[in-house]
Amino acid sequence: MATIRGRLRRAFGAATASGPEVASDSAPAPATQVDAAWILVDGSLCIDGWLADDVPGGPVDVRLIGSENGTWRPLLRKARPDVAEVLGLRAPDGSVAYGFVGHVDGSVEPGRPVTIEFRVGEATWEWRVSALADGVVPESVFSGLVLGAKALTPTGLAPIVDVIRQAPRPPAPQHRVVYEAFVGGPVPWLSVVVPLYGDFEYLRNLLLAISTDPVVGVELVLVSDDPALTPRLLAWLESWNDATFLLPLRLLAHDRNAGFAAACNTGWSAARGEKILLLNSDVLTNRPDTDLRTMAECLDDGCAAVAPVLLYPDGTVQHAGMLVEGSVDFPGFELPAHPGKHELPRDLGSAPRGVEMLSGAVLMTTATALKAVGGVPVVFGKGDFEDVLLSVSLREHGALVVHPGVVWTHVEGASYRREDHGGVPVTLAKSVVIGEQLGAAG
Amino acid sequence: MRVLIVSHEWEAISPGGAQRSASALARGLAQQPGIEVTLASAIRNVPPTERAHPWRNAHGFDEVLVRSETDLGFYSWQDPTFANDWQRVLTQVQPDVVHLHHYFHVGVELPLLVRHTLPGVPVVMTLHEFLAICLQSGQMLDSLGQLCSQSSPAACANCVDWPIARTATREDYVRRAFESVDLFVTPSRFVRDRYVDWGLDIGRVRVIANALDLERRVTRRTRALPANGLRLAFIGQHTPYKGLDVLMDAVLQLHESGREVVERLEVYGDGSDRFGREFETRISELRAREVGVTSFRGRYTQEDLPGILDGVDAIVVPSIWWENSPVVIEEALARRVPVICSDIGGMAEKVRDGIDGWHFEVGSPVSLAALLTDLSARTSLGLPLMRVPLETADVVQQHLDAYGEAARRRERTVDSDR
Repeated sequence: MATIRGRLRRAFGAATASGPEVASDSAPAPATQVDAAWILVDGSLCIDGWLADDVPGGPVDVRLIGSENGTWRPLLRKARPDVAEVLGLRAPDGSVAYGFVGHVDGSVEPGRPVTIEFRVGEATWEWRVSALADGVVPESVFSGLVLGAKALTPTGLAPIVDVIRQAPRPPAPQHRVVYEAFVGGPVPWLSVVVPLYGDFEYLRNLLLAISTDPVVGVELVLVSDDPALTPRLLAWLESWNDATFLLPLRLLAHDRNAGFAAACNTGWSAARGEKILLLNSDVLTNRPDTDLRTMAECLDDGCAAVAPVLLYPDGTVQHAGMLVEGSVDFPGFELPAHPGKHELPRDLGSAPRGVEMLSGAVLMTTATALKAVGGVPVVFGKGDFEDVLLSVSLREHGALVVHPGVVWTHVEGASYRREDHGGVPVTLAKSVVIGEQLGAAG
Repeated sequence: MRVLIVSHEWEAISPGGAQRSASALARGLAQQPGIEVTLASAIRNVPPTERAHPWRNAHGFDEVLVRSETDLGFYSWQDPTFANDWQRVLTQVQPDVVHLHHYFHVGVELPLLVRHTLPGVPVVMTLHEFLAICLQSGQMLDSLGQLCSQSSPAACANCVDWPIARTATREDYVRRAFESVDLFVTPSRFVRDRYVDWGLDIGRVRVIANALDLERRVTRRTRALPANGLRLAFIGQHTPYKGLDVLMDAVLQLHESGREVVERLEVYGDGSDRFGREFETRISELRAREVGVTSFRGRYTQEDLPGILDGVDAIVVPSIWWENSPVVIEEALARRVPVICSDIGGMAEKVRDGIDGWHFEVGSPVSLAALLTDLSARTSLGLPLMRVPLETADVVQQHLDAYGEAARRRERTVDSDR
C-alpha cells in the first residue's frame, strides 16, 4: 500500500531538488529529501521536505539557516514516531525523519534554483531547490502531516497566518457565456448555480435528476472555474443536453481558476431567478421537484437560507447544520463542526429547524439576500470558510434552517478539495484569520 | 398499434436468451391482427449507410439496427450521439408503445429520450438481468463467490473495489433513469422480488414469462430407467457460474464409488476465455479423472435441441448463481423432460421440487450425487403434473395487457405534468 507521502507526492508533483552538498564540512550528508516547493501568491517560496534524525555529528541540532534569496522562516518539528510511521517518514537507515516547512521571503522565479542552507551540529549543507511554476498553492498538506496534528498551534503557524493576512486579494475573474440552451422562456423562479472545477463526472446525475423529475420554471447556471475543463464540459453539454436532457442551461466560463466563492458569485450574478440554489455538482438530489419547492417555501416564510440534510453515501449524516467551535483535533483552533456527523440520521424531526450555519455544499437563498451581503465572501483567494462567513452575513437577514424533509446525498467527489488550497496548516491558519475577522465584526 | 421492440443485441450475431425472447415476442405480436412491429437491435458498429434503415424480414415485421453501446455500471451511452440514432428510429417508426428488452447496450437514457421525443408513448422495460443491482457482472455473487442477496453503495464498493462515491452515483443514476419507464416486466417472480428489494415499486412490475418459440412435445411416454444408470445432459455455457464443475464432480464421485448411477452425461455448449485458467484447469482435472461417462459435444443449434432433449432422462442445471429464468428450463419442460437444478433463485421458482424436477443444494456435489442416487433407484422419472410452458400467443396477450396498463399510466403522468 502506498504511503500517504507517496500519494501526496503523486498528487502534487515534486519540486526538483538536489543536494545536500557539503558546504563547510567534510562530514557525509544526512539522508534528506525535498518533496515539494511552490511559489506563493506573493512571490515567496514554500518548501517542504524531511531529513533524517540519525545524522553524522549528532546529537541532532538541525537549523535551517537561510537562503540567498531572502529570509528563511522555517517551521521545523521532529515527527512523532507514530506519525513518522504512518507517513513512511523513515530514512533508509530506519531513523525517524524531521519534517519541515518554511518560507523564503522575497522574489523567486519559477525554475530558477534557490539555495537553502541548514546545519546539523557543526556541519552545514546546502540544498538547491527549483520551485514549480504553478504559483497558486501556498502550503502543502504534507507539511501539516509531517509536523503532526498535535504540533500545530496558532503560535506555530504564525508565519503562515502572516502570509495569509497579508496576501493580496486576487482580482475578480472575467467570464463569458460559452453555452446556452432552452433558456428563452419566462423568468425562472429558481436558478440552480453549480460551480465546477477539476471534473464534472457527477454532473450527469444532476441533469438526469432534473430532467426526469422536471421542475417547471428552473434554470441551471453552470460556472466553469477551470479553463482546462471548459472545452470538455462544453462539448459534453452540446452532446448530452442538446439531445437527451433538454434542460434550460447556461455555461459561464472563468478566464482563470478563481475559487469556489468567485464561481458562485459569477453564477448567481448572472442568474435570472430570484431564488438561488448554490449546489455542488457532487450532491445527489432526491426528488428535485418536490424538494426544491419544499425548500422554497422556507424562503417564502421569511428564512434567509435553507439547506437539505446531507448524507454520506453510507447513509450517515454529513450535514444537518453547522457551527464553529473549539476543535478537539486541533486544540487552540476554532473550526466548523457538523453536529451528528457520521451518525445515522435520527431525531431530525419533520419541520424546518434553525441552525447557526449552513454548509456551502448546497443552500438555497435569494438573489436579494446575496446582493445585500455582497455575495459569497472571497476568502484569501480560494479555500475554506466561505460558508461560515456567508452564514454569518445571511443571518442578519433571517433565520438559517435545515429542512429534514429534504434529504440529499453528498458524495464529496468533485467539490473543491482542501488539498487544492494548501492543506491542513493553511486551513488552520485561515481559521485564525477568520476568527479575527468575526471577532472584529462582533 | 405500432410496437417498437428494442433488443439489447442483434440475435443474428448474439443469440442469447433475452435476444431470443425479444425476437419471439416480435414474431408473436406481428401475427396479431392490427399490430405492426419493428424490432430495433442495439449494435456497436453500424455502417452509416445502414443506420435507421429498416428492412422487412421473413417473419413479416421490420427490423432495424441502431448504433448503441454503454459502459458497464452506469449503462450510460458511451457516445451521447447515440441519442440521435435512437431518435431517428423513434420518429421514423412513430410507435404507440416502446418495449425495451434490457438496458445494457441500449442505454438507460433511452426511456427519457422516448419521453422527450414522443411524450405520450409508454415505455415498457423487461428486466432480464441483475446488472443494475450488482456490479459483479450482475451475478449477485460477492467477491468471494458467495451468494449475495442485498446491495448498497457501501457493500458494493467493498465488493468490487470502487470508491463508494462511484457506487452511490452509479446507483442513483440507474434508479433515476428507470423513473422514465412506465411499467417493468420480469420473467420470474424472483427477478421481480430482487428489483423490489432494490427499490422498484412493486406496483410498476408485472411478471410475464419470456416469449420463446419452443419445440414442444405434448406427451412423452414414461420410459423405464435403464439398469445401468441415468442419461443426463448439461446444456449451457461452461462458466463457473453455471456450475458444470459441480455436476462433473458429483458424477465423478458416483463413478469412483463404484455405483452405477449415471450411464452417461452429455455436455453441450462451450466456454468463455474471460473466466480464466483457474476454471479451465478445474474442468480439465475433472475430465482427466473421468473415465468415459461424460462426453463433451460442443456447440449446438436450436434445431439440435429436440433430439438432445429427447435422448436423455433429465437435464441438470447446476448453476451456483441465482439465475433469472433460464431458457433451457423452459426448453426442457416443453419437451416434457424433467429438470434437476440448484435449489435457489429463478431455477427453484421455475422448477417445482418433485413436480417439474428436483432440487439439490446449490454448489454441493455431495447433495447432487445423493439426489442422483435416489433418482436412479426409481423405475422411471415420470412427472405427470409437470408444468407446460406458456404458448407464445398467451405470452403475447399478457404483453398486450401490460402495454395497455403502461399506456394508462403514461396518460396519467402526462395529465399530472400538465
